[in-house]
Amino acid sequence: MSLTKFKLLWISIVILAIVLRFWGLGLTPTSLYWDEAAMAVDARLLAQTGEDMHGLSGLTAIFPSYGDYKLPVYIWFSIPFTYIPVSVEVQIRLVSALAGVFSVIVIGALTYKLLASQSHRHRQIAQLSSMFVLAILPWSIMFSHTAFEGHLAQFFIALSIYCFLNVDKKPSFILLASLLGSISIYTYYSARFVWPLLSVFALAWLLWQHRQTVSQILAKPKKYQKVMIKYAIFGLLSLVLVIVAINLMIHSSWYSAGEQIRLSSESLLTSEPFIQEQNVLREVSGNDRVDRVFSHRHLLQLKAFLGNLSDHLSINYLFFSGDENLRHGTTVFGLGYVAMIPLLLIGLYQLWLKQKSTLWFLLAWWLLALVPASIPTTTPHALRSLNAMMPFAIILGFGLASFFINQSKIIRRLGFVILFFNILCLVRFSYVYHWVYPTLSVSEWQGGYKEVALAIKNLRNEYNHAISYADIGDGRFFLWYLLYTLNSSEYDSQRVISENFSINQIEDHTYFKLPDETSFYSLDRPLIIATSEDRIAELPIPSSAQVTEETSIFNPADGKFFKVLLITKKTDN
Amino acid sequence: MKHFNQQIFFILFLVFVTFFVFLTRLWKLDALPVAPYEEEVAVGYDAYSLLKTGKDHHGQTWPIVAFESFGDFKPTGYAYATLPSLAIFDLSVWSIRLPSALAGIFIIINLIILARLLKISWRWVAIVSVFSPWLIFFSRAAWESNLATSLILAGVVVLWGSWRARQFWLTLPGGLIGTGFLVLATYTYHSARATAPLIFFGLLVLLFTEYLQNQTFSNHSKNKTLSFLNRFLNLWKTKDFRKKIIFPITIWLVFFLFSFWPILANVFSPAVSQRSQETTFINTAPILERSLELQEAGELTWIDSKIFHPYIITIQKIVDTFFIHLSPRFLFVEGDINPRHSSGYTALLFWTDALAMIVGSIWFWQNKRRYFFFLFWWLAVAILPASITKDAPHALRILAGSPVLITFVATGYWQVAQFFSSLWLKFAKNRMVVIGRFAPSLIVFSLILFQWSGFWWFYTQVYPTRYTSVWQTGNQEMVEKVIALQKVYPEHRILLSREGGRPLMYYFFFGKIDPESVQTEAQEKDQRGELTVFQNVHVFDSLPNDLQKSILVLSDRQAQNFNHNLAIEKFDVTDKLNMQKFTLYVIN
Repeated sequence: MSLTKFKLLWISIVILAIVLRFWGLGLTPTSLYWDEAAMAVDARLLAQTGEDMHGLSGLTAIFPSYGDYKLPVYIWFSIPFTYIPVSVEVQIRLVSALAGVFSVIVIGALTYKLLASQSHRHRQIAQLSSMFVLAILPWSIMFSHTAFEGHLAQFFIALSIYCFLNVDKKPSFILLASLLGSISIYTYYSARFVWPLLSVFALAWLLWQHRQTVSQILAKPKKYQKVMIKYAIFGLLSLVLVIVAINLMIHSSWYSAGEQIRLSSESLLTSEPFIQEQNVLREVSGNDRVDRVFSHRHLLQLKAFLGNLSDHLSINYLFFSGDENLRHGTTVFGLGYVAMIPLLLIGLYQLWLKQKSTLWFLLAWWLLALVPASIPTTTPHALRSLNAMMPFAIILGFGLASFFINQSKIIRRLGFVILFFNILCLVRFSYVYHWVYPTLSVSEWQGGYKEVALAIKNLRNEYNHAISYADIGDGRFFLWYLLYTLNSSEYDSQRVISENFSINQIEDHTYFKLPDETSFYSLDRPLIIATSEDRIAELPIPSSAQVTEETSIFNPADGKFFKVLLITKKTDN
Repeated sequence: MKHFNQQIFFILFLVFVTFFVFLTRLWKLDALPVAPYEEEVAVGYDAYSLLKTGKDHHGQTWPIVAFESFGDFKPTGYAYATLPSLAIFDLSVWSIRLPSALAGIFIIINLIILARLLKISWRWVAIVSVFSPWLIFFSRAAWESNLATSLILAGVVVLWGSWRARQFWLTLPGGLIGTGFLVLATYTYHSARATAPLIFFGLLVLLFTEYLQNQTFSNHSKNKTLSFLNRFLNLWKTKDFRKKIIFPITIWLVFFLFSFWPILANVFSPAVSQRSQETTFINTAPILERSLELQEAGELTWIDSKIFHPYIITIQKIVDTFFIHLSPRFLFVEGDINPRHSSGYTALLFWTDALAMIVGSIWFWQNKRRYFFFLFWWLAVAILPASITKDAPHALRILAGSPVLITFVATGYWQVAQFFSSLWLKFAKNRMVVIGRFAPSLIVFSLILFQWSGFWWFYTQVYPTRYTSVWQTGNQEMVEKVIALQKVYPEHRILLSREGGRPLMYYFFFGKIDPESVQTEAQEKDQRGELTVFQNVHVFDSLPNDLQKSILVLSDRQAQNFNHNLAIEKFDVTDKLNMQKFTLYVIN
């Protein structure tokens, strides 16, 4: 393949990736999810005041956020984008979209590197194919449109692995790789587990690739002393870097609290149900030695784990229906297109034939990425298993490439047919994703919160001494309030009252609860009340007060309405 | 010496396998599963009725396609297969389960022969099939699907085997017998009506291509410059081709169509279509609702009405359901969620079988691609009928695909063991060759044995007590008690609660009621066609108002809310495991 042709294709795939990721950014999905809103609040406040919403420094290993203890990298990266004059949704999601675009570039480089034993031309074709596959992969497109830390983390992990694989060129790449790895550890919690093991695999792959050189070095260690010392120094440095990074995180004041929250969620690590089942089995079977072996809770746990793991490998999940959670998938499409099924099989088989070491490495990567996703009980989970996207797309890409590097013309043409079907699927996906999915999923994205916050803002602009009471959803509405109602300059973290990092009151003008009777005693200042339709009746509105303005906002979560009321003293006409 | 060793090994192996065949297929056949399920009883009683009177219990003389039974039109094959064992052992749980158990044993034997035909290790096939929880599970109760699978496998093996004999006088009748088995399968199980003909077709294609591969005398027919049609015409001119291919295949096809005709002719009558209409999701509300939901989300533009058309949703659902049957969770970890179809402790196959299946199918792809295509076709058409049904994945409906999966798995284990053997021999050179030859096989085998032990432990220790309700225990004891009471209170009506499943059929079966009186005296049916009244025995859905002079049988749950002041006598009926299932009241 000529260089210009390659460059042209490369650029057009990157442009395709950019278009697919930036098209409708901030509009699809329709609104922000809790985590996105919380990150947006922190990023914005950090940009303007240097402090997060609780008045803590931005240079921290963990942000308490709304009480779920977020890792900092995504927030840090989105700080510069808050200066761009676009909507909040775009600002916060831009980082993810860019990570999606750069992932497409990285996957190409990775594929080229991983197919070391193939000819240059074949590697180039494989590079372009895997880039193309990732560019049109629904999994990647969907998570590029949302601000989830996992998507950024998978990019850093992939980049770090790419650097690791280039260690044979320059020893300093180890340091760069560990730096990127540390960043990934600070981006998403599961990276702590995935990245170190994955880098060991990468190193093993590299050593296997250079096994002749390694045996030469082992035979004559003195000859290569200089190089070895270089590697050793950089290796030590990067080890120190990673250890320092992990230590900093562990010694952060919020670390143990965050761990507690994560461990308390429902997962296979909570052993009660398994112990119960074990005891039931033993009771029924008689509890002799054999019974104790086969009813052992670790065996039951292992079975549950294997079940969860295999959920992520079923064809239905990968290509037909995807994650049933509407935030992580459309439920109409899987993680890949139906037309990609043959690519998976062919990719695996051709890798087996052409470069087994890479197949093992990619499979190890894939399975390793699935482990953290398989421990919680909600499986399959497209977000937690995002680290599997790279090996998945590389295998699919190699499957596509093996059509084009085939000798037979018929098979090369078949490759174009498959390409055509994938593009058809892409068109259908784009339509569904941008026109059908927003309506389908609106209830999953805290629909209506933004409108309520804006309605309150309107009223506050008019009656700027009003007191607002808001009780919307699960008590995290303050995030939307900070994001859409208040100007960041109005916010002073010293003058809020919060409990467990959940803000209850801002100065004396905003409360995140329903007003009680005492609030209505003196109606010198008008009251703005935002709550759900059902709870209006509970309001102890005295006869001396009247509802002057009322706004209804549809709440897609339960099909009812949020009400924003303005209550003033009754005036006698 | 070496020769002697091999013989000893062979005999030991046979003894070992035979022991486990008897243990897993025949031991405690009537008590494991703990009690007969209503369908088993219904088939058994129909067979009994046929044996005694030549009519089924609805009074149909020797039905061919289906028994009306509970109005679900059961295929007749299983009942006819039960006739000999009924004649010998009389009506009992053992005698109605025996055909299925024998079919299970024949599955193993035929799989071994199939392994010989495929030229793979028959020993591994024997081990994997003997220890397969999937096969064991369905072999131990009167499942029509198990018999159908056995017949399909026997058909393939006999047809293919007699073809391999390469003797015209053996091929033609042997093939006829094989075809006969395949046809019998279609009379035995619903989904086999689609599966067996398609497998038959696939096998004929396989034999045809194998013939083309092997023929050496008519090279001109391989001349690639000629068009396909010309090549075929050249082939047609050879006498050998007409004699060895066209003639027998035509005979078999005609025989197949002729004997399959009763089913084909009834395709639209309830006898054939009833069951599929009941179980399919095609044209049901959920499909239309999903279609509408998506169309509404897309604001009902014309594009939405096209891409979310119910047809499209249906096709997606079919493909989805098809692949659910191949999902690793279903096959290797959890199995069918219905505890009647799977123990829940192990799945249809073992965990390690996942790896073996991958290795095995790759091996087939690389070494025996034509067989791979045939086996793959077999698996696909076995899953096909199940993929238009609700409550998927369904271990019973895809049982016909089990020979394929087991063949792949066994090949995988064989190849893995071979791989490690060769690795050992490569590195250990000539030292301890014996270990190298046997150790990997033994390790792989012990993996299978360990997982099977877990299954067998669960199946014998936990399963019977845990899942009494799906096997409807207590009905036998209830019927025995009712019949004893009938003698004391001959004037009393007997009121049986529907909560126990199909109590009247259990009454016929365990009471060994004379089929002739059932045919003539039981006339009343509910809307679906199930008998509800026989002599003075009545089945009720909700408690009748008039309870005077009756023996009332209530399920345990109903009895808790029943005001038993009226009763003069009360009996608790417990099942074999001493769990309370029914309460009997005698009311004056």
